[in-house]
Amino acid sequence: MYKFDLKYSDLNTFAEELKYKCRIDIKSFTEGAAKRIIGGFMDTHKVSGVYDLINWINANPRNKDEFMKAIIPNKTEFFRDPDLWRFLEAELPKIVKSQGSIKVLDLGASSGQEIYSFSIMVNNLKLNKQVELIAAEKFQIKINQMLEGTYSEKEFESCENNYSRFKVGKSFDEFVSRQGGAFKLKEEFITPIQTKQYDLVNDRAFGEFDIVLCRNVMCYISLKKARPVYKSLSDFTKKNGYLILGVQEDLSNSFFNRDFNCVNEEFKVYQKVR
Amino acid sequence: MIKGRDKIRAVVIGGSAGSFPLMGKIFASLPANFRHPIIVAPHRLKHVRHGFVEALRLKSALEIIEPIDKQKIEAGKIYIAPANYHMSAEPDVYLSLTTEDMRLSSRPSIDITLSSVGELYKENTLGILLTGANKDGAYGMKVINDQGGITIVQDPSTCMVDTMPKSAMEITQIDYVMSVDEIIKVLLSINR
Repeated sequence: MYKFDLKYSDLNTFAEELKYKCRIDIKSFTEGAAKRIIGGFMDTHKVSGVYDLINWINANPRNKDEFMKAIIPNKTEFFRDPDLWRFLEAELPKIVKSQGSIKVLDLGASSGQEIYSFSIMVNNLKLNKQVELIAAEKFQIKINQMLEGTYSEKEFESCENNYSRFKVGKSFDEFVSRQGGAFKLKEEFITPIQTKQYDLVNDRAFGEFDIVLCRNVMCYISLKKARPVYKSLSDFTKKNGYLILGVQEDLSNSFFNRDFNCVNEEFKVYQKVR
Repeated sequence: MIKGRDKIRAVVIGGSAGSFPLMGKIFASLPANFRHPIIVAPHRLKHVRHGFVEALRLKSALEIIEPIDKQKIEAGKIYIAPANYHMSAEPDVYLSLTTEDMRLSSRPSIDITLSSVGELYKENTLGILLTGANKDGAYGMKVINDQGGITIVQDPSTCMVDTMPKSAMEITQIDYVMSVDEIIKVLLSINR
């Protein structure tokens, strides 16, 4: 798989050096994912050891930016888990009807696939005026990427595949414009999104929200660092509001489990009850 | 049967095209008191989340689990990588499920699971690679071998598609080449 294979022991050394010399903290990452992503990056850039990589990152700001973009995993796809989106499309009008207007927060928004999927769904439902959308992400470089709204052709294929399952027979094409080998999301889906730079591991919750999306984010946070993050998830969720995790994530490692009822086990939708 | 069987503490299995019925046969042959964790990375269809594990459970005396992220690895349980997630064994002895890009067109990636189990359990790992149509798993078997674990591939002459075991044999020294019936005997022998 890799010519350069980063070991767990190398990763610890690298994380220390990276924090000390480059001011980049990766210690909250799940070790396995960090090892694979950094190992893959070293392989692609033909860097032969962890100290060489530190030197490469510090050589110029562009290198640092490139490294930062690479180590923050995307949530991979628009409309990942199409059945969940069908469920949300059915439930959202009911929630809006009962609340009047709602605020939706996407935590660990990365390059925006999840919050933009929500933006498209809200637009389809003609609920734009009633739903406020906020994307929170730790790294400014990812926020910039999100606001650019440009994605690869490869990514488009998975969007198309997911979207045609979410909305049977419909194409994702109507939401994008083509730009060479890439596609750009139309501005009408980007402009409603408010962004906030926020560190899920170290910062406190900055408000309460009716729906909190934190899908496939906890899986990148190591077990040691995860526990305080669950408190933030609880703090962010209004009483009677909803917290949505990835389909293979749950709150079982969390003391705050007791604050939530699971209202949909398959899609890991929780309602805060206290 | 095999050298070093007493040191085994964890079993990891990968497989693709044609491996599903073989996995079913293997799991059906193991006793309820099997004392090692079995961590399994099959190639799965991205959008089909149900049916795979349920079918395997029908004939197995062991608990078969599609784990949740950060689920602890426990002896005597079979963990199957869920559809559309990579599954890796972490240093604190739990399974993490992540959504990075596909590897060799696959998520779950067999390489990711095999190599992480090899790194966690080192010489105490038994890696098994079954029939399959691409090179996924070959790198994982190399890691297990490099860590001092024991590697077995399904005999290519008995495979529906032999690319996967042959690829592993090309990049690393595989300890044993066996039929599925022989693999089952090995698994029963490490339970003594």
